[in-house]
Amino acid sequence: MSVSRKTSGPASLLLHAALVLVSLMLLTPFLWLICATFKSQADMFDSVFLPWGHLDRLTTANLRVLFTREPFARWLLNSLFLASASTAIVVLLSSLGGFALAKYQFRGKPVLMLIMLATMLVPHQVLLPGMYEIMFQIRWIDTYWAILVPGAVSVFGMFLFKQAMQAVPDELLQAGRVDGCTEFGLWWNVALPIVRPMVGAFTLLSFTGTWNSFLWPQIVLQTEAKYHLPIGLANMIGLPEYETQLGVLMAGTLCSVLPVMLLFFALQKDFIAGLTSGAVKG
Amino acid sequence: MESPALPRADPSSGHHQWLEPVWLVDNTPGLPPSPVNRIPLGKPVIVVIAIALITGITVLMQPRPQHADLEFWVFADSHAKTFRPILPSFEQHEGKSVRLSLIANRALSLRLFSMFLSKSMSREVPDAAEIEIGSVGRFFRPPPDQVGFLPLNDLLRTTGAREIADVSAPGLRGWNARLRGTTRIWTHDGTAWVENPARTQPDMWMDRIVASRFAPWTKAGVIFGVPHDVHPLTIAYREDLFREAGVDLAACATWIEFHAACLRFQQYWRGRGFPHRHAIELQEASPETLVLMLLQRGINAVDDSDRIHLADPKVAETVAFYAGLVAGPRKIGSEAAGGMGVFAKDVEAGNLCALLMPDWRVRYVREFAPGIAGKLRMMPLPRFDPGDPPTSTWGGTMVGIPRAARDPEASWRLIEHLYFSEEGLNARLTQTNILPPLMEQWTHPAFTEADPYFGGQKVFALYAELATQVPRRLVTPMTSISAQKLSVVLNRAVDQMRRRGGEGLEAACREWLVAEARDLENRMRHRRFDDGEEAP
Amino acid sequence: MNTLWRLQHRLAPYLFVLPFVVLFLCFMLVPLCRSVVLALHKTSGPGAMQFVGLDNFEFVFQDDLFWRAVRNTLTYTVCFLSIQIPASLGLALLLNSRFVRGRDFFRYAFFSTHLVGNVFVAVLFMLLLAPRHGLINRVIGAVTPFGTELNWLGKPDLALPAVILAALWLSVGFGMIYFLAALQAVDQELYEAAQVDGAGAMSKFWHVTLPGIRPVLLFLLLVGMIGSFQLFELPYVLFQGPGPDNRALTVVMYLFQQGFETGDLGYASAIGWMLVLMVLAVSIAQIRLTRADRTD
Repeated sequence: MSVSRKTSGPASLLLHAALVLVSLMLLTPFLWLICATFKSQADMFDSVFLPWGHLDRLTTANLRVLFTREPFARWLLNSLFLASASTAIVVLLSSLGGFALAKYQFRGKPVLMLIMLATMLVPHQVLLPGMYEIMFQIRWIDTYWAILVPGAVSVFGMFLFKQAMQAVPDELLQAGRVDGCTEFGLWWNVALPIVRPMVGAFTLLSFTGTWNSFLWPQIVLQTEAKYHLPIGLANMIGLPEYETQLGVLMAGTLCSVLPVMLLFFALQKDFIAGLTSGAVKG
Repeated sequence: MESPALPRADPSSGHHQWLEPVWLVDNTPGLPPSPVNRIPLGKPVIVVIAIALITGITVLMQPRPQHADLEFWVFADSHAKTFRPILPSFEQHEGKSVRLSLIANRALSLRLFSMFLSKSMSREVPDAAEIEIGSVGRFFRPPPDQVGFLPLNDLLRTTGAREIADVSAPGLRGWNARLRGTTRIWTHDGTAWVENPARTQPDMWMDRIVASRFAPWTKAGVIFGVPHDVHPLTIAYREDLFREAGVDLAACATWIEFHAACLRFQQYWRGRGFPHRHAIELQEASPETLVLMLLQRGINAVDDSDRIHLADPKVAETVAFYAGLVAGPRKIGSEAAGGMGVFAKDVEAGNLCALLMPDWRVRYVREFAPGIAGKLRMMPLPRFDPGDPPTSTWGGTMVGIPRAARDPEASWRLIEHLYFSEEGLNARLTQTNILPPLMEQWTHPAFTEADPYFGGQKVFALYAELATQVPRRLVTPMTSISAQKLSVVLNRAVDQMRRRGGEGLEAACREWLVAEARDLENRMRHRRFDDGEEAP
Repeated sequence: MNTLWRLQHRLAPYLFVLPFVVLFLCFMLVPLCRSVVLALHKTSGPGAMQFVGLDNFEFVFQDDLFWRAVRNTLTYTVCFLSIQIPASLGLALLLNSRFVRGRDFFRYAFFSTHLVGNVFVAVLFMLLLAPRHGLINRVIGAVTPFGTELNWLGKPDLALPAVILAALWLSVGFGMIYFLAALQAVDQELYEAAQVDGAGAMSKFWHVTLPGIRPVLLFLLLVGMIGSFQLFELPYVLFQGPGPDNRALTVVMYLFQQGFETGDLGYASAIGWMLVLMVLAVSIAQIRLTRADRTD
């Protein structure tokens, strides 16, 4: 901590007021969401947050309908599976690739880096029709392979890990090699522990990314039982003729958002540290 | 980030010291060395991998859905609730099991469509599926012989013979029935059954269903779906408020009169401190209501021969008129505060005093606006031209049989049971009062009784009366984009109405519509395949 | 054993990048080529593919819906980034002040909105933006004279602002985290030197802070721009389609509609290539500009 002058009262107050205001703006929708989950359709817009005069009208019916009428539990399970399986794979493979890029010189490396850069600049949506056709032909439509396999390596992840692993001291690696360790062992035992913060950060990013993904899964998944949360929830918004129960929709949103929040709050230190440590170099 | 202190490799010990996990970069100081921390990956990844494994096992172990002889897909919860109770009697009678699957609308139509596209998935098609009118367009993209649904013209014409047990059975004028046990056909002349030697066929399903309701589900004369409903459209209005203002809304026979009456209504109330009292709920930017009005005038933006009618002068006239209803100095319409059925609050408060009321909407008003029970009345739509019907139609659902279905005859019997049988009707009535497409069922007491919510008016009798006059709504693959085009023109019209008033609006609309029609034609040409003898 | 070790030592880097290479070939190169081929055809269903040459591209150039989508996407990008970047930077500056107490809480609070996905934000904001009764309109009505009648989801002019509002809520914390880290990495000695030179707060910001965080700023700008061009989920779920008067139609949404709702994969591929051109043009322009800047 650098030498701090005595905090000037008004400036500090203003500062904190601004921060509190912004926090309110950002956090109030969450509060509304929680309240809405327990409000009946009639009360939804009647009261801003809770029907203070009639607290007995709060109901858990929305949650009940959510889990009985809609296959929401199934969607939750699917989301957990897709996000975690995809994350585990992508973290391992991307860190492997990043390690190679950071610590090895090999033939074709410049070309590879160029290709990687190009894939980051080219928007992936142009690939969708082609990918759809391919999935069609190899019968992967409506399977989870179509989601897990193409996303198994992340170029962004490789760059992040390349950045982070440059901090792994070469002497350590050499010492390991002298002792007869395999390159793979070096990655697992030496490099990974050193970049653990980045591993944590990238895990969150990847998990969140898959958890919230919509476009490609929407195209690929066709059976309702295979949907994950974003698609299932988006489909719950009905037609004007067949009315949408807003409370159920909000209950679904809350349940979809909570798991990632929980994961974040449990593992926050790692994530923020890793995220910033790797990216600051720009 | 601190760089780790390097443990020196001690060759004498033979112990790979460098293999020890490097504690020093652990971002959680003071954390005791636990087994988890020994693994290089760190807590988060461990947790994630654990979740992956656990859920993976659960996902893989999901039991396969048991086999059922017939699979029926619906997208509406109310339909599922209607059909489920009456399935057992069908299953018993047929000796086949039926599984009813409730699938969200978009999911259902996308999945079915992709099944139709893929020959390999045709084993998994359902035996019958309900499709909503907004989603059916894409199914009509291929030529009729390649549409994924089974043509039903023959089934409709050869099944469902109307039979009477004896000549004292009730009937309506024009009905043709076969006397049970004989082959003789009797015709009802309004009072009694008269034997009719000139006919050899009684009424079949085709004749017993409202003819115009086949239109949305037809392509080039081939019928692909059985209609679930008719959805005639009326206007429900706050009779108490209109009466107080001295306006007899039901007496308005044309839209012009209606417009003028509503203006008088608004002037009365604005003068008494109700600045937000709008006469009628109308969407400003969405073309839905505009489409309904055009239907009433007999215009479909794209007809079933792929002809575009946007450039019809009546369309321009209607758009300009509608723009004047929702914007400008003579505005009588306003949107409900936040769609999704939240209009009921505005109706109770008297912010919206009239609503377009198709039969499916009655339930929502009743449920969510109980405070105005007894205050609403219903009237048929005013007309544009003398030849117009006093109603239109909004929404619709069909049930179709995929071409690749295993046993189309069984599917058809299922549909007959669920849609046309007495049981089916009673089941439908437990959930909703939607008018069925089978005309004879409109004599059911549920449709003829007085409705206290509407002050004793027999609203469903009104719906039944209007049901035979419902215009033909056609659906093509270009229908949704033509609605988008209408929306563009409408928005321009509303904009101009706001800024410069109605001067020259109709002429401007005509120009814009001609341009949009040309664009639509371009698109159709661009999409069309060069069908013909040389087609691949 | 030794030769085995030597073998794996030499092959290791290639094996490590092999997964990426294989996946790149299968799921990027092949679909890319396929997309090129598709763009020259029109399709509708199985076996219904017809070669049309450059017809799709000809059509795209005079397709007013496509250009509407382009206009919407560009408007969104410019408006969104010009608010998000300064806002995130501002928040980071606030949080970076040494007067702040409870920095951890604020940091987590601000970042938590980023964890909510596009789809969920859209569903939530669909209700928050309801006219008259939705939370946002109530706040506006309570705080400003504009009243509660703003029809975010119904009025064409308010469609993009609604999307931008939701997107800002979602991403202001994300940028803030990066800026915060960057700010904390700026060399304190530079500030002290500037102080000695008599520089005021504004000058310090302009001459010490900004250059110090330049890499992160450019990174966020580039990533933000590429991301904004690919906007789809948020408006699609918020408006259940292209919105009033097609004002929420984005390029990717148009691609999705044409390819997967209408079924013309060929035309969708053509649209995809137009998107590629747009993104490449803008990215290369930005990279060039910043590189030119850096050489001085």
